[in-house]
Amino acid sequence: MRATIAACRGLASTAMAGVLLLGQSTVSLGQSDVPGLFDIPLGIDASIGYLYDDNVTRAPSGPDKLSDQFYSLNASKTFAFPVTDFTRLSLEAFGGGELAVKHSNLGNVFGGIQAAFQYRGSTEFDAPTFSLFARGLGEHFGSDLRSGYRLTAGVSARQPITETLGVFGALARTWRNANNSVFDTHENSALASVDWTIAPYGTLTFTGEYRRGTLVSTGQKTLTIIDIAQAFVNDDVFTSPQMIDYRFEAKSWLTTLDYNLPINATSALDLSWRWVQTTSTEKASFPGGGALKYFDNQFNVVLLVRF
Amino acid sequence: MNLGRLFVAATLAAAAACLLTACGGGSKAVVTTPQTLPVASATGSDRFLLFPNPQQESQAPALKPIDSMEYAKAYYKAIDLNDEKNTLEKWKTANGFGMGGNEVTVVFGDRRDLGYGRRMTARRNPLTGDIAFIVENYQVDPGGVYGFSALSIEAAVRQDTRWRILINAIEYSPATPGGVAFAKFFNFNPVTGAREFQVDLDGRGKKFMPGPCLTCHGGRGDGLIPDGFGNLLFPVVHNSLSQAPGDTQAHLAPLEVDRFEFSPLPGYTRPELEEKLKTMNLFILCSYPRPAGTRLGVPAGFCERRPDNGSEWQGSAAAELLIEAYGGDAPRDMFKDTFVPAGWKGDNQSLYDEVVAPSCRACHILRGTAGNAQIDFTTLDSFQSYAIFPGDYSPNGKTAGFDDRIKTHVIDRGDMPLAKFVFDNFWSSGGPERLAQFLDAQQFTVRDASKAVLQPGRPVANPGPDRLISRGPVQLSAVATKFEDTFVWTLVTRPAGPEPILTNANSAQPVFNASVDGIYTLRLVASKGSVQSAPAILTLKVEGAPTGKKIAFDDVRPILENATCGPSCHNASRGPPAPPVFFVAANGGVRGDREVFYAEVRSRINFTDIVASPLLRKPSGRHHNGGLIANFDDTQVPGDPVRSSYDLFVNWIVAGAPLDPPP
Repeated sequence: MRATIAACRGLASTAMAGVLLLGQSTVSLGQSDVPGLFDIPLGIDASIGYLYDDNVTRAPSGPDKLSDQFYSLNASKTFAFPVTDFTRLSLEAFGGGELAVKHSNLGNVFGGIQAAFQYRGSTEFDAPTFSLFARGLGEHFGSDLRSGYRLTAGVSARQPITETLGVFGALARTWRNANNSVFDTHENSALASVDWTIAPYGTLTFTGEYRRGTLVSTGQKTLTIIDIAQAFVNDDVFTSPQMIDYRFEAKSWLTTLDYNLPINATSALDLSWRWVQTTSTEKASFPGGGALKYFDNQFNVVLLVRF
Repeated sequence: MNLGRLFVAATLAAAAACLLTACGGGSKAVVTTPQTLPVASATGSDRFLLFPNPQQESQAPALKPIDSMEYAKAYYKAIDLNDEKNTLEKWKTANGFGMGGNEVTVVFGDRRDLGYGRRMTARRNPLTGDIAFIVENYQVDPGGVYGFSALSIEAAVRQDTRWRILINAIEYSPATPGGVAFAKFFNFNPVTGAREFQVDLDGRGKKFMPGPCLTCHGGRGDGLIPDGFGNLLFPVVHNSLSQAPGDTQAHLAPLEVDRFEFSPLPGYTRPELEEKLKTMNLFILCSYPRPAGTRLGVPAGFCERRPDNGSEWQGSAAAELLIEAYGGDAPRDMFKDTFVPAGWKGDNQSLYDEVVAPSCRACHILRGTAGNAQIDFTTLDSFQSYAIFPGDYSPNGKTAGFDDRIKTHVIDRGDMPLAKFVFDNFWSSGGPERLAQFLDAQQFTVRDASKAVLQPGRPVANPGPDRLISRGPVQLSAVATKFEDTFVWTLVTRPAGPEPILTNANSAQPVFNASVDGIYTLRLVASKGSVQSAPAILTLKVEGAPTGKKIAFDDVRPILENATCGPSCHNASRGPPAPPVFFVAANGGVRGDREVFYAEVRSRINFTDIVASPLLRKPSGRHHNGGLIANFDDTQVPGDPVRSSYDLFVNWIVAGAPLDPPP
């Protein structure tokens, strides 16, 4: 069992989340011959988590860079439907919510469905698994501006290397349609991960991802922000001082180091650290003006249980 | 496990609810793009940076208003005959920018007047003493309310040309080498550098040059004059020292540093810029004429201020402001604005501090002449001279020298304060209440039933000037009424006999038809929606049968040329203090340039508010160095012999002030 659901945080783009979910699903397929894993009566994965985010505003260093902590509850259930000897359709329903400690209107509930059409050419150990996937997510924040839908579609592949080592890759595109058009974003992402299982101590996963598209940051108006922004709106969470949410074109590098520690047959503890670097593709229009760049760190602890 | 299942069920239920509620139907929060212009329409109709007298177009001869392309072309022709400065680069080259000399640059936020971030560079030619200022203006507040933003200062510091909305330039130089320097105003396209005929200084739309600049730099808004060949020329202000067309008697404005905002960025903080600002202010002071006996105000050897000519703007109030701000003859490096003119110290100093200094001073301090300086508001008495309650005609006539200009401009018409940003700041400050207290004391009605200060935008009825008319149909006019939708005229008093007929009594221009001589009074109430104006009374003196004669310039001209007005005062050879317009030639004889004479006289008529016309105000004793002229006493009822000339002038103006009798 792997930590996946925590990645669905609303402020984080869901491209990675979707892909990780898919990666998880694929990993599960790869491990589906583990006896008894799907014999649990409900077959529902649930988690309770804690996350510290040192930059919930996605702001460059300075007074606009604000941190927060989140408590999360999540659940999901996956249904697998064999199609042929080598393919199957996987449907997953998931939902959850977050409570924000400092900025309560960042709290949210969400729910969605993911579908994946998966292909594995043989049952040989080293046979790769390919997948076409799509994912829909509705989310409702305390912030009216942020509530809306997200859709993700893409392809992925998982390749076992050894008994303990596997690699995973995915390409995806995500669209976000929010109540406020500033939060209407889109991005493309490419992801690769390596997982290394050290029985019985768990699994260590390293993920690297590159994204390019539009995203939203929050901060007080500055010349650089106004120069690079496509659109902005007064935020309804960070109002003292009044900040704006601004959409801009950017590229991001994300790395995640994840350690999944099995507790027993139906539960695990997952620890992860995600590091994000985002740089605007546009530069401020004044002489010597640079791009906007920010960093973000997220530390996540999740207890996963399968019922 | 049951607890766990309950948790899962609750989570999935919440998620399902989320799916149903996520489509909230769209946020009402306003989305802004960087291309969205600041909002500048919050205070209704555009009446900012316009002369109260806009100059009305005429056909014979063809004259044009100030806010017209013809006016702008005539101005640039006057100050740059051969188009040698029709681009920014040419202008900068002509003024020696980048060629050494004393050249300084500052950046500040203009948080009082126009709301820009301003990058200002000034240069003084060490050989000629010519001075040039170029100002890049930055405005960064997409979607915001037009006005000051700290981002605009940052843009000015960083020269972020995306937000550079205007490039203005002022040059203090003579028309011809060796002549008398005067201030010339240019406006350049911020992208191409081409000289522009129009400028939008406040987000309210473009206006033609140079009006928006002259209005607050002390410039005159005189009408153009015909050259006899179908061209319109910029007039000469006859009491100017330069005698150059284009010398509108505008001036460089003091940089009131205490009212600026500065950037925190290194190199641009106020302490770092004080010395440069002081240099600029000394440049400005160098451009002011120096009346005899007044302080030089600049360090020895810095410049020589030329002596005034005894007639022109004296510069005293502006010079004193600068001199005092630097501690007298400039021994202090820091500008400190604690200046209160001696004439304002005392009980009414708060009126100066709360109203005059923040809302009037910047423009008024640059106005006036040697013979008529009250308009610079540098004393309480001068300010008060524009707030003398009229009273009514009975029993001994209205108050001598009555004058309601402050109430009219600020409370009724809303064309003062002149700049939108200043206007908005004034009405959001304690200034209106303080001004109302002053006007209350002057007996003006400036409050509504709840004692709140009346604000412009409500309907204000104006039935035009009281008149002497003949029996028979006469068209009345309420075109000077403001902010109205509808009109209601009613007859209030009349002499015995048949009742006069009032046709189209609910229009702006009804026809009044009396068959009996005597004094009639009519009441005009204007409305805007359900809001009614205070009633305004029009007094008409009906006297005699119509003669059929159509009034024209030659009917009023003899009054201008008579001994009182012409040879003794408005004489081209008059010594100081000379008026800015003359009615007779230097030898006291008739002017031979009839159309030009007419245009200059017509220029002194305000068709939008006839009683505000200098042609009526001056001879009736308002801020006129010649005082009250015989037969212009408008404190008396129309038809009274002591106001016969006033009545004649009014009727000529009401008839459109034609040069020749209409066919």
